[in-house]
Amino acid sequence: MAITKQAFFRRLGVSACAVTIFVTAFAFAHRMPGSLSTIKTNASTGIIEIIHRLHIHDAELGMVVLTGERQLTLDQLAGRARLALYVEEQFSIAPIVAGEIGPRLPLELIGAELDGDFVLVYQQYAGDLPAEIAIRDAILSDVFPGQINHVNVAAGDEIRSLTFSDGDDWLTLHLE
Amino acid sequence: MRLQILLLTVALLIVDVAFADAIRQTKNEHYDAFRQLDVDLPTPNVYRTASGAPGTQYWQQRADHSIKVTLDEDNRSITASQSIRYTNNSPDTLRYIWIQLDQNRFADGSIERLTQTAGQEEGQDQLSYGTLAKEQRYSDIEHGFKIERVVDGRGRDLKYTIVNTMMRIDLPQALSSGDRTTISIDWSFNIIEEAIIGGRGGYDHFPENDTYIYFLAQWFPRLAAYTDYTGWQHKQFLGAGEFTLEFGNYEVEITVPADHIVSATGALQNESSVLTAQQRDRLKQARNADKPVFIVTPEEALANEAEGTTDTKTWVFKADNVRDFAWASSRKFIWDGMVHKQDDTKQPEVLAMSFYPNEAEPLWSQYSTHSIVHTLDVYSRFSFPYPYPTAQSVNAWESGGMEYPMITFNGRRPEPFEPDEDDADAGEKPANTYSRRAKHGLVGVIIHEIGHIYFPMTVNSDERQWTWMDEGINSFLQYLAELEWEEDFHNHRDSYSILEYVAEYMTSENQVPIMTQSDSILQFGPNGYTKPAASLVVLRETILGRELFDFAFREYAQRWKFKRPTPSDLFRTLEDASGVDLDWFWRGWYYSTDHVDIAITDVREYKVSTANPDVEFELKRQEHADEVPETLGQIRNREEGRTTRLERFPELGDFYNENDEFTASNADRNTHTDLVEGLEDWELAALQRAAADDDYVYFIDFSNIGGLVSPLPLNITNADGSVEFMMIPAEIWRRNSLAVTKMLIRDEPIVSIEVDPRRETADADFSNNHYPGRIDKSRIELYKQEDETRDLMSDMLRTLREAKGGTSDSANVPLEPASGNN
Repeated sequence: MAITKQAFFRRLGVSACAVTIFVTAFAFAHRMPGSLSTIKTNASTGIIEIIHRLHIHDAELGMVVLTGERQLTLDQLAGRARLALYVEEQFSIAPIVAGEIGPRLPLELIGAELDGDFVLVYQQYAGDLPAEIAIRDAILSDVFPGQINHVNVAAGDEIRSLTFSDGDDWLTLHLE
Repeated sequence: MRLQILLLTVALLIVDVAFADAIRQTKNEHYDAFRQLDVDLPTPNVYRTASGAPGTQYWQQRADHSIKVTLDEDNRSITASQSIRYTNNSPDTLRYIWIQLDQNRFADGSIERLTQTAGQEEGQDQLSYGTLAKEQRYSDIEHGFKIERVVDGRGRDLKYTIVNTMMRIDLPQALSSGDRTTISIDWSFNIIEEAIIGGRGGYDHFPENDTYIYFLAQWFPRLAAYTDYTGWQHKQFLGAGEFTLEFGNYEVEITVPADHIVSATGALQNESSVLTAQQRDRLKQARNADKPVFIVTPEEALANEAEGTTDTKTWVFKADNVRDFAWASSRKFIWDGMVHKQDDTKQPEVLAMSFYPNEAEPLWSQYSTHSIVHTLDVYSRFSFPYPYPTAQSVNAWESGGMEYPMITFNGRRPEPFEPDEDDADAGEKPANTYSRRAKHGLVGVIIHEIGHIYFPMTVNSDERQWTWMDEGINSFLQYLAELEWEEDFHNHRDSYSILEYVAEYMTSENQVPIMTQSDSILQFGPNGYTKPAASLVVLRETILGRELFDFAFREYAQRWKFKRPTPSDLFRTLEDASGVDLDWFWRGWYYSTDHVDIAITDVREYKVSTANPDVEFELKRQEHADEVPETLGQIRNREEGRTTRLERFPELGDFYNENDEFTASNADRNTHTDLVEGLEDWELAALQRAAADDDYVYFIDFSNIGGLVSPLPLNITNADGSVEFMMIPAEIWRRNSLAVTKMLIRDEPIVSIEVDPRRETADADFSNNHYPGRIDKSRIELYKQEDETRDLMSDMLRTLREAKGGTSDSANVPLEPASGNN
């Protein structure tokens, strides 16, 4: 196991970095934390639009845990921007080329806004969605052990879905 | 292509349904969305009737508890002696009884701990600081119940077998129907630190001043429920499926440090031995106050928490007819209360109280107790008068909420106020206060948790089996109560927000029906809370209307108050009392994963024809002239002054030059005469009247893309600009659930039609709801239009990206390969 781990460190060039804050396992007596992302081509512009929908409460708590800043709030632009940047890190789409996960699509981060109980983070991609894609959605799964992330991809008249839970990494989808 | 996809979908649907249903459609692809649920619902019997009411021989068990418990603050543990009097009201003889040991969820070897899976990120093994701290705590402190003694009423040891979070006690003599037995259990356990381990109870530590709040839930061995529909409900506690419990009376003596204030299920029995004269006097005032009155002030609480004592006091609480008991204790508590008066002879007055530390101020003294009373106001109107003497809200943690009879644990503490850059009125707000969202968050969570005292604490549904029965119904009522707290609460735009979100979720490929056992739900929040709540919003506002819904819902609440309903009892009661067949609604929303997406695919306009060639042919000539423009070359020739040969040689003209294809011939006239003579008198009269009225006839095609049949609310805009709203019931889909055509006769021409203009059906795609078609801007496009917001965000993102440099917000523990394995 350790060998595999090292190999991955090398290949991906990921540096292990320490954070000083102490992350606690926030439990919810009730509704479990989850997010819903939709990927859809705008019929009039042809641009692929990605909307990530998170409960404000989960997102805010998550950002407090991640940053160690107890005062961080999504009421403020800075809080929403930091969440957007975090989501950008945790969510990726990549084509599958010859059975391997290819380079990530360069998704453009548009912004984030509040809507009722939710915070929405917007991304877009000016290109076509490949027929074979891999998606990685680790939004808040590094904070909440029970986090479940759901992705809906509108492909033609169909909606295809992926569910990320329990440490799922990349999941793949073949679009017609 | 589109048709093929549609047919394929139908075929798949049929295969699924064919496997699921006893009744099968085997000859064609017709799907009967309105097929009655009879074969799917349990057979009515003497316990539960076909109308959804408790039957003539309805029964439920009873478990009365008396408990003496002591809090050991130094060791953060509790020790108790407990006696349970169990009454077997079932028709069955019981040789053993099952007890729930929920604390064993945290014990070494628990199913929940053993089945937790590890995370990976980017192909790397992942260990969060939270998981690490939790594992360390588990290895430092033993959790779970320590059962010291289990004896019968005469002190004889009883054989018991612990099966994870359940314990079977074998009875020396079988317990016959109608008989009672008493069991005593001595036990103890170490209290979890909730922020580390995660749970519904525990203690909250304030490291700044080393103070604690203790909040105890699932803290004593509780009777498992024995029911007519599943026998013993002893499905293990895995964390998600909450509780299935029996009603009974409780007397609980709680011994805590003498400077603690205790909040608990029930009513305090010994005020004089635990409260000061001043506190008793203030409590008396609170019982008559229409605004919160302090029983312990913030200053007193602050002074109290700074001291500490080795003395103890015993608080005695009694609670009648409750399904559970919880309590909280701390020297940090501020305590306020006010009265809620209601029109009920049994319980005319309810004491609403809140307990919270100074860290929760100024939010809590302002909003907590008022939120309790508001909940009682609204929920009682929709169900029944609040049935208990107290209703309490305790600030036990920083976030979240949890419910028990008469007591709720609620999170939300204020954060110092910092004005939002794009908040126009930020300048008027004082410093050191809380945000609007913190306020709404607190009010919302208190409404939700106090609301649970109605569902499921009183309408005692089986939470281990069906999360939605309490969470869905309660989220629905919470939403109604929030709308009544203040306008634009949480920026709710009527029902739009909840229905928009649920529609997005309901289009998902991998979701499960609402009718799924609690621990198997894939998406707990959307499935257990939002989808059922949204379905009830649609049912109330759009399908039944408020009058029918409110009557039927109140009937359900009153029928099952202090009893245990199952899903079929709810489905049947709402139909029985509203007089509306809702099987299609339950089938679509609760038993399927279809979503609502109705498209308007075509509109054809007609006029009624007189069939008289002398009238109609002239009209057709005009129409033809309107529709087919004159050939461009012909127009330009004329403009050039070029003449035709016919103009130059008129003798070339003949019959065909004088009569075009729209000229009525005698043969046409004879056909008309035959037609008229073939009509019955009433048919002729109808034809002539329609021709005289000059009506417009429309054929409108609707397509059901999402699969879930829905009413069709329509906005019809006429040529004169007037708009007419029309509601077509869902039954329009009963013979064909995929495509229907509606005919409308109008004296004005229609210029446009919109499906679901008020956004009330949870339609997932509004781009196909208009005729003529309309291109709506997407959410992202609308966001991008707000130039100022977007610019501010762009600047902020750039600044943060630059500031961030190479550091990461990673929450993961740095892992190095173990030595020797490199």
